[in-house]
Amino acid sequence: MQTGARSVRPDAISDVIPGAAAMERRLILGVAGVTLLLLVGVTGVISRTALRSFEQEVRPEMGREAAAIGAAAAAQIERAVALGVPPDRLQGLEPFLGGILAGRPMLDSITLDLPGARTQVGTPRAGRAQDIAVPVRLGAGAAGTLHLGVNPQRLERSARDSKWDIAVVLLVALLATVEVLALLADRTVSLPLRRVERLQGRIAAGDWAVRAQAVGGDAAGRYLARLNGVVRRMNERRRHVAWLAGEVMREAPEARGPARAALARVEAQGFAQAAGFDAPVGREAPLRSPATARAPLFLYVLAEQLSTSFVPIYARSLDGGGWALAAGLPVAVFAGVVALASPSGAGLVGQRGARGVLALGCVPAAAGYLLAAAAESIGVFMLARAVSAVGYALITIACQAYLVDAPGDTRGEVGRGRSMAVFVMAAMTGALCGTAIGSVLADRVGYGGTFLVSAALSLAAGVLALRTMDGAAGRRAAVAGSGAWRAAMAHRGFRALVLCAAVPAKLVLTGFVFTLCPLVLLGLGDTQPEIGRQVMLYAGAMLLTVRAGAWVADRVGAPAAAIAWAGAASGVALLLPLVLPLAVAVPVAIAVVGLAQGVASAPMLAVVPALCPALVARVGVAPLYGYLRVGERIGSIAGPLVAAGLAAAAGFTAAVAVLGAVSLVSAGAYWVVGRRA
Amino acid sequence: MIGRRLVLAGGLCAPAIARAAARPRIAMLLWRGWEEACDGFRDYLHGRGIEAEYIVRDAGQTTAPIAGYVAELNRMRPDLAFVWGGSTALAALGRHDAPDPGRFLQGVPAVLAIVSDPVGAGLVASLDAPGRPVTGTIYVAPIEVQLRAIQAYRPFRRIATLFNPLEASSGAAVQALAGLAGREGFVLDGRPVPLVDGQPQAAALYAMVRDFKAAGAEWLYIPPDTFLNDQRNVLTAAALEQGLPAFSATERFVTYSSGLAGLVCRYYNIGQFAGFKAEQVLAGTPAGSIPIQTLTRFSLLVRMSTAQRLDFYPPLSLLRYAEAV
Repeated sequence: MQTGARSVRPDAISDVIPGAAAMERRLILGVAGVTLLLLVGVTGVISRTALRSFEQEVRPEMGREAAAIGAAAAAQIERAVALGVPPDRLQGLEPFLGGILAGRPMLDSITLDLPGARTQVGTPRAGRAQDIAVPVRLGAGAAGTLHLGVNPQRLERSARDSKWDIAVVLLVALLATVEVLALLADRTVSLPLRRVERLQGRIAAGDWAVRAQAVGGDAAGRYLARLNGVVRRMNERRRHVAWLAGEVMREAPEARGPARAALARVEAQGFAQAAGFDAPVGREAPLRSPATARAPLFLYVLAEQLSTSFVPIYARSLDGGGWALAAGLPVAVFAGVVALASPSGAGLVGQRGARGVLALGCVPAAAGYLLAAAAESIGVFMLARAVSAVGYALITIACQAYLVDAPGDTRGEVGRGRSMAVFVMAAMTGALCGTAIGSVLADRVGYGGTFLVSAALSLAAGVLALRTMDGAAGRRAAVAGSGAWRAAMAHRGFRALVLCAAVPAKLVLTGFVFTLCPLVLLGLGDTQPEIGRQVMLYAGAMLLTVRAGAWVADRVGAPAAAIAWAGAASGVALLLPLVLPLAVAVPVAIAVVGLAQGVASAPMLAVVPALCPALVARVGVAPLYGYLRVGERIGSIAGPLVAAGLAAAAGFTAAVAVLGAVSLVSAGAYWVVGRRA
Repeated sequence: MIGRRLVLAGGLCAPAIARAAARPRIAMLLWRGWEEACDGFRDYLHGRGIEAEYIVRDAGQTTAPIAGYVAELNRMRPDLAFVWGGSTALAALGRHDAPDPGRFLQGVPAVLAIVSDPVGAGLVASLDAPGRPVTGTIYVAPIEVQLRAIQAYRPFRRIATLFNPLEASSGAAVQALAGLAGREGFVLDGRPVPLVDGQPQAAALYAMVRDFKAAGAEWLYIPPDTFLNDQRNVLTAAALEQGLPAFSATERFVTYSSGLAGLVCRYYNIGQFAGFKAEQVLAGTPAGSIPIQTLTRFSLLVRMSTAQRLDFYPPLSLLRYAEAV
């Protein structure tokens, strides 16, 4: 998803009802906390039981499997001896035993003990290793023994993987619960309270022409209905008082003074706009909450990110490992199509509204996942990613337009910044959940099956969007002219921001995290869930520091420094593989890149008004944010290609070091140019 | 392979009785009497519900009587001729590019069995489209597959082979093996059996094997060759005495003699496959449009008594799929 915002959460009702934001947050945190406790408790007990029976069942099961393998091998040897091969003349024992060992990671070693001779393949492990002994009958009373050493780490690794899988599922369940709670709280608490608050505010301002529409049966609805009744009765009373005053003034001219004074006293109670009493009943404008787009966005990002940790691996397997760039191409094609499709997506939002386009975007997204599930060649897979990218472009454009339009209140840029944060958080949570659960899914149901799940989730996101979002919102999304682009890129500071901050950030993200990391981790022997957990570190780390970045931008007032430091930190992290073992350097680098980009995401937007105030005054801030995004997309397209190409030419460590150097140099250049500008 | 299985499976479902209204007449033109390939052929057709009338003519391992059989069959007009062996086929059918209606079989579709190289022998223009009403089967595994089997038994640097220079097909097999020598990194010592009065000399075989061994050969490869087949006992006994492991392209050197090993088509199986081809011809498919094929599965035979005599045992991985005889 795109970069962050100036602040953290849209505390939807906080501006008007003091403490309401805290109430809403307490509600969500409280319910989420209770849910967390329940989930952790229940899954803890279940996992403990499951893991214990896993130990009890799997260990002997592995022993039985080893015994069966040993019996089959012993039968071959016995047959050879029965056919007349003397035991001491058995030919090709090592390749024979080696062939049995090669396809079976559960075995460490196989040793054949024959009278006077021993043949061993593999290295038996000391300690907890299981030794399965199978007799080999050699006829005439002679016998040998086949020893199979069962790898204890295999068992431990299976148990550890299961623990991690449970933890990941738990984390995803919790984050998803928070998302659902946020949606529910918004629809059942926050939105009704905001309606009540707005109605009260208008009444307090003397607007007695207002009525609440579509009063529901819940507590807020009943309250609104009573408020409507109060407004109606007050209007009747006022009319009655006015009539009485009129009658008194007509019938008793001597009482005119007191009557007028009484009427004035009524007005003084706050009935300032006398016209309001008799004005036609006004319609209550619909309240738009950015939070209504949060759940569909979360679901969609979850769907899209299910495949993040294995797209390059899947691509390379489809290509048969022949073409060096194959691993990077699908990621690059995806970013390229997103860049191409976004402008027409913006036009479409203008015609159909954000909700329609978001729902529409889920169709090509799902179609692409289905095609990816069925792909049997790299070409078809790239086509599938291109189709999904059209969906991605439509959905992100629709969400941005919705967000620009959604805060139907007076909070302006502040509200917009907060709404932006909703989206960033929803997207990052979706990314975290998707990457984590996607690799677990891929491990269990395969790459194709995971893409099918993505298709189902993205369709669900579309249905949810149609059900919860406001259909009219988003039609007035602004489209900037091309003149603005030229002016923006002529500004030295802004140009530096795009070229030295936005482009390298995405270059590092898509090139290192999304393309090279899955491949190198696979090469290190990691399982798909292990790869997923490490790639997930990016989203997790970013989620931690987005708030810190917003704080730096708002309170410390040093956004440019934050951006430069973040770039430098990413660069240094990418140099780690030069000095540390890959198994340590890769996850650490992923986490540092996540932390750094989280810190930089809000400042990247916040720095714009201060950086080029004249430009902002001329073209507005929104197009400039758009150009930043263009820069990010260029980085996203180049990242996988550059990374895969470098890795093919010079190896992983060198490729990552080059990306790190680019990030470091860009950060330095940005700092120098930014200071001058 | 899959295609062939599908054809077989499809054939099983077809009503076999319908087309067998009249009993087909099949001429069995044989080289050395009725043996396993003929059994396989007859059993296959019987299993498919085709109860044919068999007209058996045995050449008795010489081409002399074949002209007479051909003249007889040209009068009888059977529905099909099963032709056993390359020499029989050449005598009965002639070369595809030198037709002579007076000498060769006319108007009777032929199915070949126990033929190693019908294209090399000039029987047909190509295997996929024979170009004349002749189809059938090849009974040897591709030379490269045989080579892999020898290497799997024991890798080598020098291999010897011999062939009857009068038999085009065995010379062709030796040529094919020689073609692999450079790429596979071995030396082929291939020699023709000397001729006296235009006849290959069985008496020379022992000396040849002895010379092969003296020159450092690690294996003796026996190509598909009718003369060598007739002399198989002499040849394999010489190899055994010289301590030279013999690997054969055909079955009898191992099953009925003392050859060490061979990657072969079982005669019975090849007869069945020829029966499948015959069934197609009897059903009305022009024989000239049915490709000549070999089996896709071969039998690796190992004579364990010879392995013991030579102290030259097969590796365990090979014994897994070998048939010990």
